[in-house]
Amino acid sequence: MLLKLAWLNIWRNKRRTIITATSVFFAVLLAILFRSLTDGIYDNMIHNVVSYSSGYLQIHQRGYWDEQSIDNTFEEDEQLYKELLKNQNVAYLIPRLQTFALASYADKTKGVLLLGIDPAKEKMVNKLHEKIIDGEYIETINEKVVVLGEGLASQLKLKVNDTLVLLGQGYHASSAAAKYRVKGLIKLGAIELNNNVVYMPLKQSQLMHGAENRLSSVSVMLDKTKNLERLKESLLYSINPDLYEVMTWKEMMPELDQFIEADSTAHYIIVGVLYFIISFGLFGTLLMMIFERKHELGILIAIGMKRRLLVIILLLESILISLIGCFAGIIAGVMVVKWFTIHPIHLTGEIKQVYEEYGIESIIYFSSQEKIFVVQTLIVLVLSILLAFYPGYKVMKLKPVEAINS
Amino acid sequence: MKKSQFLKFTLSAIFFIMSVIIAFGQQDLSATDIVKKADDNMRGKTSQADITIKIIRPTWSREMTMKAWSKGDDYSMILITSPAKEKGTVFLKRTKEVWNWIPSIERNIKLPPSMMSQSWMGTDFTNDDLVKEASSVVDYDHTLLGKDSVLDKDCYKIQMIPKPSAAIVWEKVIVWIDILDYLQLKAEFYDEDGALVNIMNSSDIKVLGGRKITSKIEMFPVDKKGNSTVIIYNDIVFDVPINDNFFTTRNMKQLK
Repeated sequence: MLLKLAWLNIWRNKRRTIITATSVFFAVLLAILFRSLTDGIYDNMIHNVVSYSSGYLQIHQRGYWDEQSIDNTFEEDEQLYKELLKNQNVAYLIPRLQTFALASYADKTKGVLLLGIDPAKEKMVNKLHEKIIDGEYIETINEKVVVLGEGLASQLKLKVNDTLVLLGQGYHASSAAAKYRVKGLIKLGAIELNNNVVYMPLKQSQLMHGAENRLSSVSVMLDKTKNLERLKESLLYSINPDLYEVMTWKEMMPELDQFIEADSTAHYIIVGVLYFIISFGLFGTLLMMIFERKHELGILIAIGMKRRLLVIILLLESILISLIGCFAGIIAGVMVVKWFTIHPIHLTGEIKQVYEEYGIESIIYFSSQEKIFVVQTLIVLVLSILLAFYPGYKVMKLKPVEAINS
Repeated sequence: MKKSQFLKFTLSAIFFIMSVIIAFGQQDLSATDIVKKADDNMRGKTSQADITIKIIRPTWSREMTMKAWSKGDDYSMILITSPAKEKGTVFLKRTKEVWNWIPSIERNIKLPPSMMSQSWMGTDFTNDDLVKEASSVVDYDHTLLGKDSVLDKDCYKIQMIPKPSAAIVWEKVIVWIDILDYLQLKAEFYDEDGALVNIMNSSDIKVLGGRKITSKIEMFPVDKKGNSTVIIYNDIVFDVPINDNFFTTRNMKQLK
């Protein structure tokens, strides 16, 4: 009965209802797009950074992270791969042997990050071969060559086909010294990597370190950032937790996580301002409504309508209007986001260069996580309901005689 | 008859006096002399040794064999002979410098000061130990703390404090030196906070190269339980002349 009354009421003045609903509609749409855009950018950034470095999740031998020495590596295990790949969220597994060594050419020497990689797998996940700027990419897992960061190469004053000398610490205190031909130079976005990294085929790295078949980590790549913590738990379940440890990129690269956190705080403030403006718009239309309907409300009270019921009707009206606006907003939001997920924005010009310098694809993706739609809609809905209490308050205080005479 | 009696008397008197002098002389041996004597016992003018080093860690262990040449305090050379991966690696010490020849990269590296405090070949010894260990006589002030027994042997317990001019990381070193054979049986190394860092035990006294030496030396870092390094002298020859030219960076590359 009340609902019906409210429904009829809101269509008595169509223009007013449509204006209010439209302001809600735009509020929801803007909030969704903004959130979807920022989340999309973050996801893309994480994906880019993570695919070169740690992977979304990483599996080590238990205790490796606290003491990252080659003695804490583990034996490559097909069984482990099988168990991990059973999980549907796992897209790729990248085995690596990561160590530190001294790299030397002529009379220049520098400490470097030595990454023993499976060239084919890296190629699939992070398109490493596309970043080669001189020479060629590593072909097989056993080739006796290295590929190094372009920044490192210029510091060592070395070119393609020169011989790089590597000296490090081998497995169980053995020595690790070898020389390799430089097959290619690679330009990576992350400056730190670009200036420090030496890629070498996994088998060669294992041979050099006297660590046959051993890995320091298996990186797990996912299709999308999902609930990492839960995935970590489930992966840990499927493998032996006494032997291995599973870590998320957030644990391994807290600085990236913190950067995103700080950056999104700024975005929350912007969204907050957006909500503020929207609320005032809504509040305006509500005020107008109460002013226009003062006479009517006065009569209703005078003929014996209970104020409480009247308040509920007004509240229902406002909820209905918000709901209409929200639904329209979600539908439009979904469509816009869908459009942009299929046709992401390709940046051009200067911004593109800036992005590429940081090693991030110059493409803006929109995140299409359900969470965004639900949360943003709920926030706007709650706001409009809160605001609807004001007309209710007015009704409770309304003096029927004055109202009828006005 | 009288003559022979007199001779006997004088002889016995001389023997008596001699023995008294020797006994007193031994009493009077200063702490520095004891350390020097112990040091000389293990070192000699030159030495050539065949050594096995075992690195013991809680979860694994590893064995290396090597040949070592030394001349006085200033020169020494070490050639790794096994395992195969390290075979041919050479360390040369010339006074305060350490050079490292690595055949697999055909490079001769002079160890920089920053690497001196790092582990030598993964053992519990540092590169620094390789260079500075020699000057235990010259670079320390020695005080005799008294007598103590180690492994049922009576020992002098001597405290060695580095001289201000010496570049030594320890605050003090306490050594136990066997009274009979003048062999160092134990040493304790303390850092600048006075905390015990390393314990070095020497045992298995054997006659090698015509001398009595401790053929087994064990190093225990105190803060790492289950870690130790054992040095075993399989064979050693003392005082065979070695030319100074032997201890050159050029010779490192052709050493076999």
